[in-house]
Amino acid sequence: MTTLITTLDPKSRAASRGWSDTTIRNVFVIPTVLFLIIFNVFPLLYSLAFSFTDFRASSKAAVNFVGFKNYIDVLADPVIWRTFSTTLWYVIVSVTGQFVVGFGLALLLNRPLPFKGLLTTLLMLPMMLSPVVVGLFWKLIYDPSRGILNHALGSGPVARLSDSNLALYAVAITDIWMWSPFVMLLSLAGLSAVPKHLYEAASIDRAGKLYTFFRITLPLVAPILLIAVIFRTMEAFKTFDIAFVMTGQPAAELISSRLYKMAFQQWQTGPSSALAYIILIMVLCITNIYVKYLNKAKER
Amino acid sequence: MHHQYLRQVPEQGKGALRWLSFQRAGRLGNRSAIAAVIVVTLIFLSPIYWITSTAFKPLVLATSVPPTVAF
Repeated sequence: MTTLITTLDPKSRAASRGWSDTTIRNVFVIPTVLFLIIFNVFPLLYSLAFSFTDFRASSKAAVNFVGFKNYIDVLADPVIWRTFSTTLWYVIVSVTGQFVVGFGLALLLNRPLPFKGLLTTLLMLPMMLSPVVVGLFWKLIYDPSRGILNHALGSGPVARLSDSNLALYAVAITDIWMWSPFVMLLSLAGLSAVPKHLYEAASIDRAGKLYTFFRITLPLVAPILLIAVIFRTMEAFKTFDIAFVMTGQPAAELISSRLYKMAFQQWQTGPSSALAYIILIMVLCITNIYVKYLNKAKER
Repeated sequence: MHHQYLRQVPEQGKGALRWLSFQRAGRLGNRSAIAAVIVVTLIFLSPIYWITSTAFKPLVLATSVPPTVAF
C-alpha cells in the first residue's frame, strides 16, 4: 500500500511564512470556488427562481409566483415541439455527418503520409474560426446570385437559406464543415493509441482489412469516438450562433434561437427560463444515455 | 504448431508475382489515401480561400455575378 504524502519544501517562501499545506490548498481552491459560485451556480439558481414566476425583464411590474405554469405552458406550446423536433433532426444530421467525415479523415491520416502535420493543421482551420464569422461567410457562399456554391455546382440561383426544405441542411453542412476536424482530432488520438502488435497479430492470422477494422480498430477506438459524439451532441443541441446568423427561416428554427427570441425579443423571462431548464434536462438525459454506453464500451 | 499461420516471403520464381502484386496494391492504396487527403483538404479550405480572396478584391469583383474565383 502506498501513501502519498505532500509536504512543503522547508526552504520555500510559503514554508518560511509558516503556511500549512491546508492554507496553501485553500488559497488556490477558494478563489476558484467563489468564481464558480458567482458566475455559474448563482445565475443557474437565479434563472431557476425566474422559471416559477411571471417576471418580465422589460417590465417593472410586481413579480408573482406562478408555480409550474411556465413549464406547463412551454410544454403545451406546439411551436416549441416543432422547434424541438427540428433541433433533434438537426442534431442527428449534423453529428452523423461530423462523425462520418471526421472519422473517415482520421482513418486516412492514420498512416505514414508526407506533410501529415501540415495537412492536419490545415484541416483544423475551420474549427479555429468564430462560429459567427463562419455563419456569415457561409451565408455569402450560399447566396443565390453572388454565392460561389451555386456557381460551382452550376445549379442556378437556388436560395438554400430561405428555402424551408433546404435551410436546415444548409446550416447542418456548415456545422459539419466546422466541427468534423474536432471529431477527426479525437479519432486520430484514439487510432494512434491502438497497439501496433494487434495489427501484426491480425496480419499473421491473415485477417482481412474489414475484419481487422471491425474486430480491432473500431472496438478500441469506440470509447473515444463516443466521447467525441457526446461533446458534439451537446454542442449541436445548443447551436445558436451559426443558425441565428445564417437563416431566419421558421422551418430551420432551432431551440436555442426560440429561447433567445422568447427571452430577448418577446421579453418572456419566466417562460424562457423554464424552457432553458427543459433543454438542460433533455441534454442531461441524452448525455446520460451516451455515458452509459461509454461505460459499457470501456468494460468490453 | 502456429508457424503454419505465418505469412512466408515467397522464394524467387515461386509466387513472387503474387507477392509483388500485394506490394503494388499496398502502394496503390497509400497513394489513393494521399490523393483523397489532399482532395478533402482542398475542399475544406476552399471556403476559407474564397472568403479571404474576396476580402482583397475590389468591390466590383467581390459583388460580381457570377462570382469570380480568382482575381
